Amino acid sequence: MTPSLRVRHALRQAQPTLPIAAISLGHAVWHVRPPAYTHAVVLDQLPTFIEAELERRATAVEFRELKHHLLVCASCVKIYLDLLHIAELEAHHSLPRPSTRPNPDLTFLESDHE
Amino acid sequence: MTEEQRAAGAAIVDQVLRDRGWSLVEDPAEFAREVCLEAEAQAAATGQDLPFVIERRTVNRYCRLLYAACGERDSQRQRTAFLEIWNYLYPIALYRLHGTNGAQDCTQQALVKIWRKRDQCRDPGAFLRWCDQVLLNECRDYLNKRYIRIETDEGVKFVPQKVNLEDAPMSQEKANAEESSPAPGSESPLLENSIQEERLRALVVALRVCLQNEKHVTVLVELFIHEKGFKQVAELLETTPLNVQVMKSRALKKLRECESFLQMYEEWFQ
Repeated sequence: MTPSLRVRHALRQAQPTLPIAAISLGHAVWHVRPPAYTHAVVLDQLPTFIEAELERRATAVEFRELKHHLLVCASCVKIYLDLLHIAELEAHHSLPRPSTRPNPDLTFLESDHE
Repeated sequence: MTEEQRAAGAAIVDQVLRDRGWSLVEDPAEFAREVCLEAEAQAAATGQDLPFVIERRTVNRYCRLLYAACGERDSQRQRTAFLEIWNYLYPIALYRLHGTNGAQDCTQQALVKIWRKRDQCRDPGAFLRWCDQVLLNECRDYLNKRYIRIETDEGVKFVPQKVNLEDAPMSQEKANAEESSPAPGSESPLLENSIQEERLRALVVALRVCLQNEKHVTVLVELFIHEKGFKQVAELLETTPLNVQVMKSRALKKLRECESFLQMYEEWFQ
């Protein structure tokens, strides 16, 4: 087993004497993937988290796990940064304003009756 | 809040609604009063600037109204709500698709999904952020099916080709990502446990030795040790969250290649 594989393996076990920051950093450095179920949980929480960030109140403990996930998950951080970028543009009124807008097709609302 | 502050607050609320073309508020005076009350409490608790809080609270409260109106079956309010969402999302689709033709299709698909899956939005106050998420998924699918993304010296280009884009880099500002003077705030984390504290100190020393770049050290310390978000770190370093991510990725790559960093972890695990 190579040294980095040994470290990866050890990082997956509980390490009470290691600070959380060192464990998270180790996960990020050696690509220890977070459990699969956590992706959906994080994606679900992203809108609330981004809104809290825009309101500058995202320091709450409730977002701690989400932040850790974003530090180690390349796919979720991509989605997060994309969303945050759009949200910031919107908050600063920096989105392009098209001179004309097509009309939506709202006929799908009629199936509400069913 | 004095009468004068209340009037100023109501003017901010009115401005936010007018700027965005939002028309679902039935009693503007009552709406403004509720927003101002909420904002006053939040500003008092957090010390934030009151006009800023009023603006964000207006958006939050209107999102809840919009969310509720989307569920009002067979009503003019429901149609108005979806029209407003369309007006909000369409420019985002145009922006995200870089002038390609699919903005209308993606926005339409997103609208139908928002209607169908509205119950999955966990936080009505962040309803528009959830709508962003639905739309951006549509845009990603659209681009993945039709284009390959290429980063050139003139910027990002999309070339029609049947190639999956799942692994393509998303950065628009990658070239600007680096480096200026070191920023404050990478010192003395407080931890209770003495072994942990010692290891945390060793970690910061190792970061300095391996990275040889104080700004990269700051990014990792703020993100991992001080548990700040990308946006907060970006504000601290006066850059964008995307650049923070780029710096983080570069720093992690250097750590991966640093023998002494690996050795330190090996020793910890013995």
